[in-house]
Amino acid sequence: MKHTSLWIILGIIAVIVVWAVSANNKMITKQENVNDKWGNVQSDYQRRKDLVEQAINVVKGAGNYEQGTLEAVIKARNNAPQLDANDLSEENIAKFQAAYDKMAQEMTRAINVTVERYPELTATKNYQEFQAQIEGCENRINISRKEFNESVREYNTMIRRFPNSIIAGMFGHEKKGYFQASEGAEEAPSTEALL
Amino acid sequence: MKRLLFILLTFCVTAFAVAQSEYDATGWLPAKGDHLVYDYYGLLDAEQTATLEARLLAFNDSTSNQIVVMVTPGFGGRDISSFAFEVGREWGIGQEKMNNGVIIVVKPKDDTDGQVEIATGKGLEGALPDIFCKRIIEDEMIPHFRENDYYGGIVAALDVILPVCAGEYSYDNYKKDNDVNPIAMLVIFIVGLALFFWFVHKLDKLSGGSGGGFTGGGFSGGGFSGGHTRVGSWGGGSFGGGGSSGGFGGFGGGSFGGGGASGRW
Repeated sequence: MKHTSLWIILGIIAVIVVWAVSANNKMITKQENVNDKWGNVQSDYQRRKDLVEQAINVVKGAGNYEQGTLEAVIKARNNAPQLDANDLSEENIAKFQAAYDKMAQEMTRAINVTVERYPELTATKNYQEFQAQIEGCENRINISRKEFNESVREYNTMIRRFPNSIIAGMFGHEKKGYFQASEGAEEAPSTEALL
Repeated sequence: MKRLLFILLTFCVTAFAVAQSEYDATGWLPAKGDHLVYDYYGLLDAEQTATLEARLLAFNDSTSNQIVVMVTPGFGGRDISSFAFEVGREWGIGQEKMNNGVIIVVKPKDDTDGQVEIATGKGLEGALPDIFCKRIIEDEMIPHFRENDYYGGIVAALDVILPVCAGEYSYDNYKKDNDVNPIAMLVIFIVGLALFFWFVHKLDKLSGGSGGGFTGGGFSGGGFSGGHTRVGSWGGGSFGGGGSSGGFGGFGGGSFGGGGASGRW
């Protein structure tokens, strides 16, 4: 009789352990998916960063350009951070996004100021290619951000639902942040705005 | 009472939105279709549509690249690029593994500016880089569009796009990517069959022996039917999904990552 109850208890414990391990594994899979999507976001933002070089070339192509506008772009670019997939809190993501949006704004401003002074610049190959690239870049950022948000939503939903939340707490799975639509960032910064 | 008012209000708002313009209503997305040319504007005549459709269908059959042409008066409250990507992703234009879909969206010039977008699937971003798409739009399409020759502009763009896509993904590498090795299939089938018979045999012995009601009842019944259905569905799934010929076989589930370009005139 004593043995029976012992076996029952052992059985229950075994079931709980198996369930906990499988729940934890599922969370890890979802988390890896988030990390993967974050990798895409990073590389798309990196593309935007690389575009700064081109923007500088376009501006320099104008000849007598304004030095101040260029310096602002370069400074904004140097301030744009990398963000590790382990620090994806709401706050960090907002900072990351703000820094890159500032960079894009400065870049657009520099181009617009230059184009205003030298309208003939719009006919150059450099400028047209830059325009096509910045458009593609913003489209890619939009999509990778959306995919990232979707993966985070799945992950957050999983770890916050009972009884998964107990496992999440035990194994230290933390809630991750989303990209919020920042003001003016919904519209891709357009170099056509001033034309 | 409040509830009733709310429902009434919602109804009015929806009715108004639909009346305003179906195509500009926020969130409008065309329902997934079963062909390749869509003209929600009524811009192309029947013959032009049929010619385009036949050409794109033949191209899909021979190279597996899926190219969709869509003429629409509105984008459901989005910009043209977001609209194109959303249609591409929701419909799954292109093959799943290769993501070799392209969607060309045209909004003719009327009271508002004309707009055009070429959105490329992830797998074609290499063959059709953004700048290349931009060139096609500016050099091939918009000059025709300006003269109201929409069909000519679309054909001119396809003349450039089709050969390039065919070079990237031909039917041969589509076959290679999707065909399962027949020998591997045979091995899996034989192993599966052997396991199945072994299992059945084992169960026979178990229930035949002096084993109590526990093993004979619940366990063998569950195990047997489970194994049986698995084999059944496996056979059906792998042999049933044969090649598609004849009409359009449907969109393959390709994805879009934001590649392409747009233009305005």
